[in-house]
Amino acid sequence: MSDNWDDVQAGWDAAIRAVDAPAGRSSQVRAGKAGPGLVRHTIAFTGEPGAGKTMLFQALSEGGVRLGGQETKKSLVPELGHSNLVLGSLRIRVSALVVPGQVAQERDRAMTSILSEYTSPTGIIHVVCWGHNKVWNRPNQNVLERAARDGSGALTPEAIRAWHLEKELADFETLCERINETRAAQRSLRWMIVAVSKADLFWDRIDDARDYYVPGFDAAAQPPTAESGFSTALRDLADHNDIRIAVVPISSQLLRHSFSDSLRPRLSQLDSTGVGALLDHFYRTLKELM
Amino acid sequence: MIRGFRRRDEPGGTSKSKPPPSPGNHAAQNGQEFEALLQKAEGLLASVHRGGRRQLTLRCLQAAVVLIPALVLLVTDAHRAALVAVLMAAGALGTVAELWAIRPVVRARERQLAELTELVDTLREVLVHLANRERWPANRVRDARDRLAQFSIEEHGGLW
Repeated sequence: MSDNWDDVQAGWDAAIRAVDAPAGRSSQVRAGKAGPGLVRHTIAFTGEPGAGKTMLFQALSEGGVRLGGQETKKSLVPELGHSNLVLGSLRIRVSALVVPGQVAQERDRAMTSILSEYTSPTGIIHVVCWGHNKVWNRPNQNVLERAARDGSGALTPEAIRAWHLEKELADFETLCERINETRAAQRSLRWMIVAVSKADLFWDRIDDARDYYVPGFDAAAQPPTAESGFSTALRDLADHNDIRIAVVPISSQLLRHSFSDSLRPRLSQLDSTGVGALLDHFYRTLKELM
Repeated sequence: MIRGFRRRDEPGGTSKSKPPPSPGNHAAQNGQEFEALLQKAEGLLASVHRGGRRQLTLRCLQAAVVLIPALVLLVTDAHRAALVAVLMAAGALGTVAELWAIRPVVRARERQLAELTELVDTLREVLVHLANRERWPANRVRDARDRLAQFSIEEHGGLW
C-alpha cells in the first residue's frame, strides 16, 4: 500500500475533474431498494464532532445532497442505519454505524461494538473537514476564541482552523492506534476512506487540502516540504495494515460556515451540480473499494 | 512525545503557537488545572449519582405514604369516610414532601448536571491542546481520555 499513493492521488484528482467537468448525475450509482441477493457490508463512520459524519451518512442513505436546510445537531448516541446501495451492477446492503466524536461513554461503547479485538467493520469512512469544524456550545466557543486570538487580540479564521486541525489530527491518530491494537485488518477491515467533507467551503484552496491529507504530494517539491502530521499518520497506518485507502473530497450539504460569531461566514463555493459530482465520485470510490 | 499528540511547532503539527485558553469559567490553563477540574467533574458525577439515588428513595417513600394506608384500609374494609380522610392526609403529606424534600434535591441535581456537562465539554475541548503544549507522556493522555470517557455526551445522571 505504501507505494500506491499515486492511486490515492489519482482518485483525488478524479474528484476534482468531476466537478470541473461534470458529466451529469450518473444513473449507475444511487441509494434505494436493491432487492434480494445483497452483499452485506458493515461500515463505521468516524471523525471529530461536527466534521460531518451524520450529514455524509444521510447523504449516502438518501442518495443526494441537501441544499441549505438545517445543520444536524450533536449526535448524542451512536446512529445505526441500514441502507441498500446500487452501485452499477453491485448491490450492497450497508449497515453503517456513526460513532459519536466526543470522548465519552457513548463513543467508547460504539467503538467497542464495531472495532475491538473481536469485531471489525468491513470499511471505515473517517470524516475530516480541514479544520472547518464547529464548537457546539457557547462556553467552548469562548475558550477557543480566547486561545486563538493573536498578540494584538485579533481573531482570524486560520487560527480557529488550526485549533480544530490539531484536534482532528489527534483524533485520527487515536483511531489508527485502535486499528493497530485491535488488529482489525487481520480480520475483516479491508478499506478506509478519508472523506474530506465540506470541500465546497474551501474549494479555492482544495490543492492545499490535498497536500495536507494525501501522503506524497509534496515529496517531489523543490525544496522538499515536510508531510503533514495527518499524511504521516495515514502512511503509517497503510504501512502496518493491509487495507486499501482512498482520500476524497466530499460535500454533503450546502451550508455556510461560521468559524466564529464575530467572523464573516464562509459561503459554499460550489453549486448543487458540483456537489452532486463529488457525491457521485464518492459512490464510485465506495464501489471500487467494496 | 507520543503519536497523536504532536507539538504545534513540529512538522506536521499546526503552525499556531498560541497560549492556552485564558481563565474562563472552566478553562484549564495547564495540566494541573486540568487535573483539578477533572477531579471536580468526577466529584460532581458522584454527587449527581448520589442525588439520583436520594431522589429515587424519596419518590418511593412518597408513593408508600399514599399507597400503604390506602391498601390497608381497603383490605380491612374500613369506612369510606376514614378512607377519604386517610388518603387526604397522605396526599397532603406527599405534597409537603414534594415541596420540601424532593424538589430541592431535583433542582440541586439539575444544577450539578448542567455544571458537569459544561465542565466536561470544556475539558474535552482543551485536552489535546494542553497535552501537546506540555508534552504529556502517552500514559497520562490515555488516562485523561479514559477518565473523560466515563462521562456521557450530555449528562442525564441516571438514577444510580
